[in-house]
Amino acid sequence: MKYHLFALILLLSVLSCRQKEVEETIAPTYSGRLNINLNHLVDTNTLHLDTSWYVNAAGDSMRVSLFRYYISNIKLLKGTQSWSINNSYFLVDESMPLTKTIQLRNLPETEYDGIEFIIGVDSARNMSGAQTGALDPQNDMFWGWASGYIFLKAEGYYRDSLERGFSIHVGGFKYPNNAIRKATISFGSQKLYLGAGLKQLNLKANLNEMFKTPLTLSLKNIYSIHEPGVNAVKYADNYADMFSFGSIQ
Amino acid sequence: MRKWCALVLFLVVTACGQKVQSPQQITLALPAHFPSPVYSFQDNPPTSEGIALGKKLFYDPLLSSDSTIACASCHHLERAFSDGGKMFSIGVNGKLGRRNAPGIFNVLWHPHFMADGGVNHLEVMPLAPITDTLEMNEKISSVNQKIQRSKFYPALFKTAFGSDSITTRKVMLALAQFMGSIISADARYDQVKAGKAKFTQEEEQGEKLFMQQCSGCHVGVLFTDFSFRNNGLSSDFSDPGRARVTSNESDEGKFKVPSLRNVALTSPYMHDGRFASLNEVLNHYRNPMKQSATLDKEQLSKINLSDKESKAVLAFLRTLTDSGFIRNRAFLP
Repeated sequence: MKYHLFALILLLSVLSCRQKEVEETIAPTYSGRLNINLNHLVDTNTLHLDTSWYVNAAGDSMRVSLFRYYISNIKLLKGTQSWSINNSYFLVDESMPLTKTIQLRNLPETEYDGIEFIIGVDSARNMSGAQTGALDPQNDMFWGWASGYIFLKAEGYYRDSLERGFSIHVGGFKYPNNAIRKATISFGSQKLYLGAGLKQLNLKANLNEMFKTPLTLSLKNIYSIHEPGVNAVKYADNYADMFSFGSIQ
Repeated sequence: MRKWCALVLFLVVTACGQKVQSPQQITLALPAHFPSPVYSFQDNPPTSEGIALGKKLFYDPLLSSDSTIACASCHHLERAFSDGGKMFSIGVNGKLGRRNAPGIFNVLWHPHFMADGGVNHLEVMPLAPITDTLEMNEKISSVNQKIQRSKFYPALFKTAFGSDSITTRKVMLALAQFMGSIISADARYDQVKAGKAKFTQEEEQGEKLFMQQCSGCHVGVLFTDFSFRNNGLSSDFSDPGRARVTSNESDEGKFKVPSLRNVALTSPYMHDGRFASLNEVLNHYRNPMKQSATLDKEQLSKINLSDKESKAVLAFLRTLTDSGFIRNRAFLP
């Protein structure tokens, strides 16, 4: 019996050592600081709410009054390894400049070549009852009548013969209307070195991606989405690639 | 002697002043003959302060946009927390709801809420009626602000949850504690099953018929399997039912199978309150179903019951009334 206990302790200590080794290969210290800055664009133009008119991929003239979305489950990538940031849920809102910078702290000090995150909220948090912080339902990103988060909201006006409103709310976490999309962004030839100083990672988010590839979506056809479903999935498929690498400072 | 009194008084006062108020944890007595609950209060241990706070919120019209409608406005204890005979409930500005208000009891066992199952967790259930423009018509952020500004709520939240800063989560946890504490499991039916009472001959016959004809959907001790079914009420669906949530054609006209506990108290019946009495409900099932693509397989043919048998089933259904529950003052303000 004693022997078994000894063996078990030995096994456990070996296992825990092994786990440490894996972590140590990522970095010896964990005081890296990173700000992710999200620059909202319509193609090459900076997004200005309310006043500026843009032409989207479907040829609609449009202006935007609200643009907000969730980013969650952020992972920093280093070759085949990754560093997951636990409980990372951020609500980004064009009208609130502070939300466009995501501050990450206590990161492994090493070099990274990419980043991955969910556009939206993972299914677990859609089913786990009342949440806090960015996920607090008072942030107006939760459907009360069909429990679940709204992952992305884009609202504004488009010109048909008249100026008409549009309101695209994308959400849904269940098959076949799952609108959770993952963005994986490589830093290309550049590397993100996290060491003593604060680093800035600038990402671009192109709102026009909502309307192009794989489907060209016109606001004239779909101008209002307020529930999970086929149309929400179409927009999610389109905006899945709206984030791209900008620069590292 | 006076000095002693003063000293004692002083000690009492200081003791009160220093008392760290921690909420009184309680274990809810779950009925032994029920399955294990879906909501197990993990991360929300019930306390007497939490339940009391939830009850205060439940009875407070402050949760609505013009402070006229409380949860309790449409959920009355004496009707097993349903809306006493109303087909549709009246919300803010006199608007009528879309569906008949269900009773509230045994919610710990519900895997989902609302007639279409749109709400997936007890802790987010109140968000639906609070934000519905036909019901309480309020924004969650406003609810939180009003509670924060009130004279007495912050102190109650501090006692129940250790902090007086109001968040949606704390409001929802308190409501979940109160609603979760509403358990109804001591109907005459339960007493008979526990060997403490006896069915009449008619009730016994009714139970037998019920088991043969109705228990395919109204399963087990909760008298529901919580599935969504089209029970042949109509062939065109002005209310898409479950399809409203799933956007799936094959869910059109399907609604949640309700529990039949306290069913004699929760008239009218069906998602739209179309039947005023249980007799009308039984007559619906005794007649040919309205045919449609999503009609439930269990009900493709009508149920064969004679008038006498129908009366027996009604007698059995009345044994599911828990009269102790609707007289329980603990659930009143």
